Amino acid sequence: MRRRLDNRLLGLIAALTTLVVLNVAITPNFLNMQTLAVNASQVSTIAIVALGMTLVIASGGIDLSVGAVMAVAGALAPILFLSDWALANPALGLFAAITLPLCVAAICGVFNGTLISLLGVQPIVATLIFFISGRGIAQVMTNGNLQTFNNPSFTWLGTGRILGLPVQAWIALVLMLVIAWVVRRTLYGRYLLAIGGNERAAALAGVPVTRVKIATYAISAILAGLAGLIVVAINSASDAARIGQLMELDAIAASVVGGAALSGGRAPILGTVLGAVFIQLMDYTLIANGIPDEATLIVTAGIIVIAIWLQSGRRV
Amino acid sequence: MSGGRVRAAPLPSSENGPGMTEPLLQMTGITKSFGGVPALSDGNLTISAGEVHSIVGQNGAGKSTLIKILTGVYRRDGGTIRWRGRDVELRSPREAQEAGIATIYQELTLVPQRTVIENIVLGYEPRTRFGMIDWRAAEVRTREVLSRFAIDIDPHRPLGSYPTAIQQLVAIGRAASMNAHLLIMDEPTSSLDDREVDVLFGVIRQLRAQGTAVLYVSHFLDELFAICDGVTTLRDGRTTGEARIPDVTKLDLIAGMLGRSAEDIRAAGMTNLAIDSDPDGDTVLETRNLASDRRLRCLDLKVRSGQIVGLAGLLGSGRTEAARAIFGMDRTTAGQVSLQGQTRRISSPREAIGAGLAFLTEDRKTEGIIPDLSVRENLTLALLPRLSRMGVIDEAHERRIVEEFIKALGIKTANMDQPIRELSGGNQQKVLLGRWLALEPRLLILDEPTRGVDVGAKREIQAIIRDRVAKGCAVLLISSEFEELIEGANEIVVMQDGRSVRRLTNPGVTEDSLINAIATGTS
Repeated sequence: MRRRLDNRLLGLIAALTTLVVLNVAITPNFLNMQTLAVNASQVSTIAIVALGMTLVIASGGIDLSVGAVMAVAGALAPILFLSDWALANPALGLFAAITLPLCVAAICGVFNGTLISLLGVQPIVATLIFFISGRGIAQVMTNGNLQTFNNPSFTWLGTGRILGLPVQAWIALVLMLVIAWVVRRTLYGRYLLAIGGNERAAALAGVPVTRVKIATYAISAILAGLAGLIVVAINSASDAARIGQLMELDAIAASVVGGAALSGGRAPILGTVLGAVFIQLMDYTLIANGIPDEATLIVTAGIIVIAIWLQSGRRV
Repeated sequence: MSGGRVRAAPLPSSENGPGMTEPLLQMTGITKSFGGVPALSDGNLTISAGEVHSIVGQNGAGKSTLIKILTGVYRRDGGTIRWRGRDVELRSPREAQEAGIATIYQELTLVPQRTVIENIVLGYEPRTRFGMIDWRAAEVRTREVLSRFAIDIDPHRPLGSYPTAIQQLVAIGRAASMNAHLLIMDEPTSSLDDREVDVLFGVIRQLRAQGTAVLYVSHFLDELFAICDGVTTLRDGRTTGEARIPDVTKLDLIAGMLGRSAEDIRAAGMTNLAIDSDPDGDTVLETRNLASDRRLRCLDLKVRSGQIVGLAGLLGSGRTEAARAIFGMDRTTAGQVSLQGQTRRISSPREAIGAGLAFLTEDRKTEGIIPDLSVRENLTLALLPRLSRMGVIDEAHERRIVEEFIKALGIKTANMDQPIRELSGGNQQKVLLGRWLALEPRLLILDEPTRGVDVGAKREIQAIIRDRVAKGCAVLLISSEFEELIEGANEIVVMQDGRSVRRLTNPGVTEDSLINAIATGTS
C-alpha cells in the first residue's frame, strides 16, 4: 500500500510543481506574500473539512452533512458572543462562542454515526438528513438574518497572521500533522483502516466497529464546525444561507484528488491537503489569467475525472 | 467408467431401459477443464419428465460445473446434451432459459422493491395494442400462478415485504409460468425454516404432478429422501452412480460420494471405538445443548487444555455454525457455554476474544484478511489493544512481535510492510493464524485451517498447531479432511443436522470408522 500511495503522492506533487512553475512564468505577481496569503486563506477551510471527509471515506462512508454543519456552527457562534451575557464576560463569552458550536457539531456527527453504525442506514442517506435540515436549522436560529459583528478577538481566527501566513492556514497545517499521526500511530487509526478495508474481518478480530464509526463521523463534524467558525470570522458576518455551501463537494473532491478510495481502507492525509491546494491553485491560475468562472468549474471537474481515472487504472 | 461405479448404487433398468420413451434430458460424457485442470472428465446426467432428481458429491466433484454447463453459463469441451429428444447447444443462460431450463438461484434474483405482479412478468410483460404494459393481463397471469401453487399473498404488494420462503416460491412460480420443463434449484432450503421447507416441498410435488422436472441440489441429504425420485452421484469429475431414491440408503449415498462401498464402511465401522478420553488437562470449553438461530440444534462438546477436538460432518451438518455460536457471531437460542467451568454469555467476537477465544474462519477472503493493509497490520489486528497505551500503538513492540511470528511461522514476505493481498494463499493463512496465536488464546477454533493452501504450507501449519497444543492451548478443529482429524484430533465429535451425534476417541479412529460415524450418526 505504501509504495502505491507514494506513487500517487508523487504524481500529485509533480502536478503541483508544474502548476507553480507555470504560474511563475505566466501569472503576474505570483511570487509574492500577498498571493500566498490569499490562496492559503481560501484553501484552509476546504482542507480542514476535507481532512474529516478523508477519515469518513476511509471508513467506507461519505459525509454529505459537512456544509450544513458549518452553517449551524457558524450561525451559532455570533448568537453566543453577541448575547448580553457574553458582552458582560468577553473572555468567557469568546470561549463559549468557540467551544459550544463545536460541541453542537460533534452532536450532529454522533447522530450521523449512530444512524449509520447502529441502525445500518446507508451513509449517503443518513448524512443527507443534516445536509437538508442543517441549513434550515441554522436559518431558523438566525431568523434568516445576516448577522454582522465587530469582534476583533473572534475575527482573528479568520484574518490574523502568524509569520505572514493566515491563522487558519496554521490551524489546517497543525490538524494535518495531528491527524496524520493519529492515522498512523493510534489504535483508532488502525481500526479505521481495518474497517474500511474489510468490515466483517475487522469485527471478527474484535475491532469495535460501532464506536470507531461514530467517532469518525463526530471528528468530521467537529472539523466542519471549526471551518464554519473560520468562515464567519473571515467575513465578520454570518449568513446561514451561504456558509459552507457546496463544501461537501469541494471536500470530497480534495479527498479523491488526494488519493482516497471511495471503497474505503485508505486515508491519505497529506494527499488530501495537497489535493485541496491543487484544486485551489488551479482555480487561481485560471482566474488570475482572466479565464471566466464558468470555464474554471469545467476544468476543476476535468481534474477530478482524471484523478478518479488514475485511481481506477491503478487498482489491482 | 464401469470401474468407478458404486456397487451400492445400481442403475435400475426399469426406468431407463429400452422401450421407454426418451428422457427429458440426457447429458452424456460431458468434459470440461479450466486452464488445463479437468473439472469434469465424464459427467452424465439423465432426468425424465416429471422427475425430481438430485446430484450429490463432495466439494470439487464437479457438481456445479455440470449444472453450469446445463444452464448455459459454461460451454462444455466434449460430450452431448440431448434435450427433449434433440441434440442442443446451450450457448448462454438466456438460450437455456428459452429452451425451458430455468434456474432458481440461492441468491434470489428478483427485485424486492417491486410488486409481486411486476416480478412475475419481469422481462416478459404482456403488451397492449399500443405497446404499453397490459397490467390487467399481467395480474391475471400472476393470480393464475399464485393459485396454481396455493400461495396466498397480495400480488400488489412489494415482493420484499414477504419472507424469503415466499419470495422463493414466487421465483419458482415465475419460472413455471414461463413454461419451464426443468427447474434447477440450488440449495433452495439454505435460508428456510422447517415449516417453509414443507411448503417448498408441497410446491415441488405439485410441479412434479404437472409434469415439470426438478433438479434439486442440497447438502442436506435427508431432504433428498423426502422429495427426490432419483439421484446421480459425482466424484472426481465423473458420474459414478445413478439410482432411484427408494433403492438406496443414506449410507450408500455417502459411500458413493466418498468412493467406497457401504459394506466396507459398515464392516470397518463398528469396531475400535474407545470410550475413555485423555483425562489430564482442565476443561477449557464445554457446551450443553447449545442451539443458535442458524441451524445449530444441539451441541454437546468438551475441549480440554492441551487437546485437539475435531468436529466432523458433512457440509451443512452445522460444524461452522457451532463455531459461530461459540464465538458470539450468531445468537444462541438455547443451551449454555462454559469456559473454564464458568457459564458465560458471549454475544460478540470482541467479548469472545476477551474471554480467551480465537477463531480462524474458513473464508479467508471475506472474513480474514484486510487486503490493503500490510502483513504487520493484519497480523497484529486482534492483539492491538495489548500493544498500545492510551490508544497509541507501541510500534517498536509491534515490529518485534511481527518479526518473531514471521520467523516462527515461516511466512514468506518481502518485508512486514508488504500488503497482505500480494502474498500466496498459504502465507496469508499463516499471517491469519499468527493473528490469533499472538493472542495466546486458551481455546483456538480452526475452521478448515489448511483448505486451499499448498502441501508444504499445509504441513507447516499443522506443525504450528501441534506445537501450540503441546504448550497447553485447547483446539477445536473443523475439517473436511479425514486425515487431518484422524492424525490430529484426540477426540472427534461427529455432527449431523445441527446436532452433535457421536463422539470418537483417538487413538482408535480409522478413516472407515469415521466415515461410518458421519454416515450413520444417530443410530
